[in-house]
Amino acid sequence: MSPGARQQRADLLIGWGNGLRQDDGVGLAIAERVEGWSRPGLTVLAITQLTPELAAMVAEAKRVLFVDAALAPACPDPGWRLEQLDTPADGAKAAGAERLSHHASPGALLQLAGSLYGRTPPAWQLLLRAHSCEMGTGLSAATAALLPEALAAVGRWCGDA
Amino acid sequence: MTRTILIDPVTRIEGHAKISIHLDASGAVSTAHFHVGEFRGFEAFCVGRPFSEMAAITARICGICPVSHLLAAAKTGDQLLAVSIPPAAERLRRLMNLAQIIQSHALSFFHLSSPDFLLGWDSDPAQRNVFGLIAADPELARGGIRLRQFGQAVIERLGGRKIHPAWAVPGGVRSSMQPDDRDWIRSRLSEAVATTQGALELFKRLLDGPLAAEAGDFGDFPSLFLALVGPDDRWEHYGGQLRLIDSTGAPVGRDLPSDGLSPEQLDNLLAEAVEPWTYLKFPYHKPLGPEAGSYRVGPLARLNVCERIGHERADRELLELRQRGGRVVTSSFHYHLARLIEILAALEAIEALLDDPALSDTHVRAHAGVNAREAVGVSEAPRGTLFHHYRVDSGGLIEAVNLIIATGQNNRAMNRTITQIARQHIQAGPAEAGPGDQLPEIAEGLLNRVEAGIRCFDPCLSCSTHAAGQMPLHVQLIGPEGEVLRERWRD
Repeated sequence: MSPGARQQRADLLIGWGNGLRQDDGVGLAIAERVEGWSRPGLTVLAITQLTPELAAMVAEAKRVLFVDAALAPACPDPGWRLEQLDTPADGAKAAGAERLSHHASPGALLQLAGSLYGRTPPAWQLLLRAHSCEMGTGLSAATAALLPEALAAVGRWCGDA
Repeated sequence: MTRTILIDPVTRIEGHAKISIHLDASGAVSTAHFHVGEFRGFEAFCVGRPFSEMAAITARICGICPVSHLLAAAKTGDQLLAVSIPPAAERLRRLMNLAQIIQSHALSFFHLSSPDFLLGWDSDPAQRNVFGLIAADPELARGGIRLRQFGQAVIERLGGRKIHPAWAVPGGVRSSMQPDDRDWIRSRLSEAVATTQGALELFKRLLDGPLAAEAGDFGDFPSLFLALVGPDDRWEHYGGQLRLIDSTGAPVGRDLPSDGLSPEQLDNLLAEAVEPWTYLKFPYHKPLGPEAGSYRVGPLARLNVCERIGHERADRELLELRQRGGRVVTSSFHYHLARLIEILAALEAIEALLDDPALSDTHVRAHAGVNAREAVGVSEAPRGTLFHHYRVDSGGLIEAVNLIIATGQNNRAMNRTITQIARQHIQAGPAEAGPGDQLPEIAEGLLNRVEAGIRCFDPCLSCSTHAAGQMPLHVQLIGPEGEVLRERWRD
């Protein structure tokens, strides 16, 4: 890729989850709201699962933010956290913990990007606590209440570019 | 007296599941169970919704095969409207389904199953994954990614959204195809064909060598096979006739129309058994009962049911498959080869569709009100025949839904497959052996073969939530009183 093209890399936000299982879809809810910002230099994906072919898009991104639901132990008070992900080590041995299923984890995608396309962008994850994952299309009130602060954090992340 | 070996959960399949292997008093494997502990419940969720929303709703059930539910729902809607959809709409739906078959089969073969084939059953599990595959054969890994990207891109170009395109609707589709999309698809076909043919050659060499034993004992048993079949008995994935055959190739009952299949015909064809140890039901051919009427669906069934594919390169591969396994191939391990052949068939079918002038017609949707209160829609998902059955009120609101999914229809076959593999590969010690003395070790390669038996069917249970994350492999050896004799975690 030419230096000019490299300068045009966009940030990538991937919100993922099952929108028919209440709070499991909070990543989608964040992505849909951020897409509404129509922010230049930011590409937004709202998807059900992370799948291997996304590695190509990840490799091309300037920075990546994965947005997902998490159960309480992974998401203590205040119920959401935004953190930078470690750059995964190269090589199959180090990748052993990543068991790719039909869906992949953010770490697996970053590893795939590095292994297949030679570039691993800096990445973050935003986790929001899922309070209920029963059948249903809406977020629980408790998880919905996390959205304003989490969206503000996304806004700051965008501004840090 | 029995003991039980538990493998929980199965890795590299969708959702969370476990395998238990039951040993008899002599220490031999008596049976094995594939447990699915996730209650789906989507049918009840749909009640009260307008049937016109079913395509969009059911497509969100699964991030892996949304197009399959989309098409089955749209076809059920066609029947409720009692319309014939415009020719262009049928072709466009077919095109999307072919793309779905390509992307789904590519994920199954290249990324989920190839590590077992290329790295070996007894290799370090830390390396027996797609990253190990990249290290061993980076071109194959990249080719698989590109193939999946191709399928996904076709879906996106037609439907506008990559994963859940609410594009197929009752009466047709929402939009026609743009000329530049047709050109783009055509420009990518030759590379996709080359990738597939390369994988076919590689896999056939492995079948003739290190995988020869697995091709024989991975779920090789007689059963019925159910699939759609087209005119002149050609391979079919969208319409045509519904055909059931036995393992000699003889038809079981009469062919049924896939479009216009009545609820009564479906009720007479299939019934569903339940077992207390799994939420996944066991559909069977009703006249023959749960055992004799058990059947397999999916790529192997489609290739067994048809006489020919109707495309030159895929037909050559089909002939080779039958030279390996007979006219009706009964080894479940050949699901993998069948997937590759179907990718090739789908690519050739896309090529033929792109040359069809009717594909470009802009009349793509028929409109009508509710003209039937109950209907069944049938299509072939990558994993097998998918039935949607709806009953609606006079205003078109859903009163009842039944979805018969491919993974469920292969449930009995998956259980038979892992039982057969376990009997072949797990040499258990005497049942009275106590903890720490003569209990058998459960070797990594044996565990992986049992898991791989399930992966032959590429089951999809992705309706489960993912928020709990992936769990490590958990293996338990449980004694007759329920006590844990051995326990092993793989992470």
